[in-house]
Amino acid sequence: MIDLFLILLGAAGVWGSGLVLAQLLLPVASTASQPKSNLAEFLGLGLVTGFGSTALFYLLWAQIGLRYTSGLAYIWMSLGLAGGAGTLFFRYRRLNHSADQLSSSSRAEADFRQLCLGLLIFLAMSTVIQTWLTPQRFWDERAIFGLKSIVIFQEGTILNESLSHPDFVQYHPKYPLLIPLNEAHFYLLLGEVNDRWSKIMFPLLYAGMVLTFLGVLLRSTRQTARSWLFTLMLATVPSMMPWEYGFLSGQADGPVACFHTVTLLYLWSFLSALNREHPHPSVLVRSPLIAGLAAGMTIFTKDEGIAFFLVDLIALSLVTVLYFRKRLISTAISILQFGVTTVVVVAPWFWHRSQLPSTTEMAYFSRMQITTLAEGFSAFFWSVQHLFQCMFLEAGKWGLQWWFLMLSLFTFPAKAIKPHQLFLLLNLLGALAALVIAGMIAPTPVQEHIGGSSLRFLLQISGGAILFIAGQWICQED
Amino acid sequence: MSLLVRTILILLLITSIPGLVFVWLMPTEFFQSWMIERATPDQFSQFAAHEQAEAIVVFLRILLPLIAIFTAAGFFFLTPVTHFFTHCGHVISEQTLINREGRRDAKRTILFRLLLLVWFSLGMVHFAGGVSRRIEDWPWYHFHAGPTILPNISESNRDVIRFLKETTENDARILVLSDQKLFFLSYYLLPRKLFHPLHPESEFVIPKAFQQRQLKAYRLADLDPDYISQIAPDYILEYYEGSDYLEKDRLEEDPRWLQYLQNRYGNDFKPTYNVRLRKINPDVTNSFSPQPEQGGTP
Repeated sequence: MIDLFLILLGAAGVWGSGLVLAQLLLPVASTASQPKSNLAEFLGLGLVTGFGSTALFYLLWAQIGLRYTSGLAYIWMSLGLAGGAGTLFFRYRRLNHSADQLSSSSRAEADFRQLCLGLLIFLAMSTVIQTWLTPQRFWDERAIFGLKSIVIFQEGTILNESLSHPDFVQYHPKYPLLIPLNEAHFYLLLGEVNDRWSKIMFPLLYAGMVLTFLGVLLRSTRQTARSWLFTLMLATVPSMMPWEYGFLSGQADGPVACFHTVTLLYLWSFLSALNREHPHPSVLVRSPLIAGLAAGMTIFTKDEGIAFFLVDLIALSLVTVLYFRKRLISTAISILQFGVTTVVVVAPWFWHRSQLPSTTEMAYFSRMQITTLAEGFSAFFWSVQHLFQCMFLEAGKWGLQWWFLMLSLFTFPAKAIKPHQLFLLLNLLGALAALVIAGMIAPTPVQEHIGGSSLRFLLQISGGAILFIAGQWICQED
Repeated sequence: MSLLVRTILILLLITSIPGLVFVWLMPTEFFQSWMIERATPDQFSQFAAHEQAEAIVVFLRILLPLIAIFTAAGFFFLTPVTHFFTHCGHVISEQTLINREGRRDAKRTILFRLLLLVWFSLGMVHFAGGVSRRIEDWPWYHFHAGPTILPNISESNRDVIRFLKETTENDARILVLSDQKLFFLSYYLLPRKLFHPLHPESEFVIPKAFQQRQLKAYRLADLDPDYISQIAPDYILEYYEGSDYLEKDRLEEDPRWLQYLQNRYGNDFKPTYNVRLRKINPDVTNSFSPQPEQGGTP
């Protein structure tokens, strides 16, 4: 029972630290014309950035040569609790002044909102309970992330002999540490390893993703009820929850889905604001910054994040060249802001990563050569066929998001070529292309490599698919 | 809407009240016997049925009273509840109407509603499937942490982990020669440190269950003494299960391994794969030198 209490307090502390960061990123609107962030976005972004900031704090702490102790974990937790409570109090007082905006919605809409909120709370609670009903038991969660987290907890630092030794038994020594550092934080609080309690971060990231999605949609459109409806859709994608490799497990695919979806949300929000005649400068400044932070966290969670970041940059550049040639310099500065933020977030990690051994690393970038691609050409057809099967023919198992996406695309084709929607389409296509290329150049048979990971990869980009669907159906009267 | 709400509440009431009385009054053993009778007679299925029955009873003992309380509250506040659902129904029908250029677009409206209906129906089916899966999993996991139950690994891996936990110190450094990927051993044996020189041909090979895929591996004789000195192990473990590396004449070579297995499975038990654990005495030079019969690079 004490363990449960500590874990809940620890999670609240992580959330609190994220709320402090979210307060800096989403300040309360000071003028009437400034877009107003809402409580859902604030709480959601707080959760998402909480786990990111906790991992970054621990990374930097070790890099300056200091050790992790239980005392440190308690101090971080206490700071988070105090900071979070203070931020909420400060913000709540401000929100009271602007409460009149909520009363403008109809009674019927308020009831519908309560129904959706109840369902979302039920889903989030159910995810927490279901997550705790199993210990870590899959390959990645133990061989890659769980193992590192226990070593970090026991050695009190990431700069230890074991993780730096090429023959120490661990899978992917160069894999990022966001998950292991957060799990180690919980082990430090508990004073022991318990690979069931430490899974609390995964359902909370699910909740964070869903809340941020809701918050950004509510901010971006006047169609409140549809925002709730599409948020419920995101929360019920079967491959995210309750599929056991999704947010219920300690695998990195759920967290990657969360951080990547948040990145896309803010880039989408940025592009849709940019498409308006008089976009508010605060959105143009803050959205790329938050997207950059989330992209950095994606890279710090799993190497797929690097591919997603490159795809984001390419898709953003293409959309800019196609639609914003008249504002090329200001848009390019925003893209640069996004890229630089990501690079700043991941720089300490990449510095540390350069010192780690490369045993069992696929080294995709060094394999990216014409000869390797030509050799793997037969894998291309297999991968495309396999992806088609997973996305469309097995939709009953993994969710209808890809069918829904195609129908939404063909139902409103004109809307799909608006900058923010086209960005999402390019992004999804780019991500799928990256997976196919990875299958072509990897040193393992494509049937085992892509066959074993495609579902988890599709899970990671499903948030983007739901955002595209929402964008197609939600904004038509806006 | 009032009639619909009332009907649903009555259905919930006639299911939950007798149901909760039944699950609370009948002993758990009654449900366990019922499940065991219907399970296949093998040991695993019988065990699973016994534990799953307990999980279902506990689940229902929590769920049914909650449904009953909510249903009772629904009857007590019938008018506001009816208004609530009427409002929700209105909002859903209003928000799923698709208009184009100020006119209702019937085809798109039907498509949108159909998609949403199928989506949320599928969501409910999956949610129920998830709950069912957790109940199926319960017998094996309960509320134990991973190191207690060593889940989702082979029985041989489990035995080697337990053997090493019994025979080596917590902070031991163990050099392992094996034809397996040892990530789970490493995970469950921490803070013991496992070092395993991976054969280059096995680096990107994904293993299959029950040694269906033979991985290339090093034998002790293949290792350079300088390499072993650099690892500075407290123990050297040789652990081979695949046919390419199995030495049937050496199955009982390590008396502690044999003892461990016989304590666990009975005195007649014979090991079927090679496990040899050797303590390295740092004071004795070359105590890890390979024995002559171990030669031969795979």
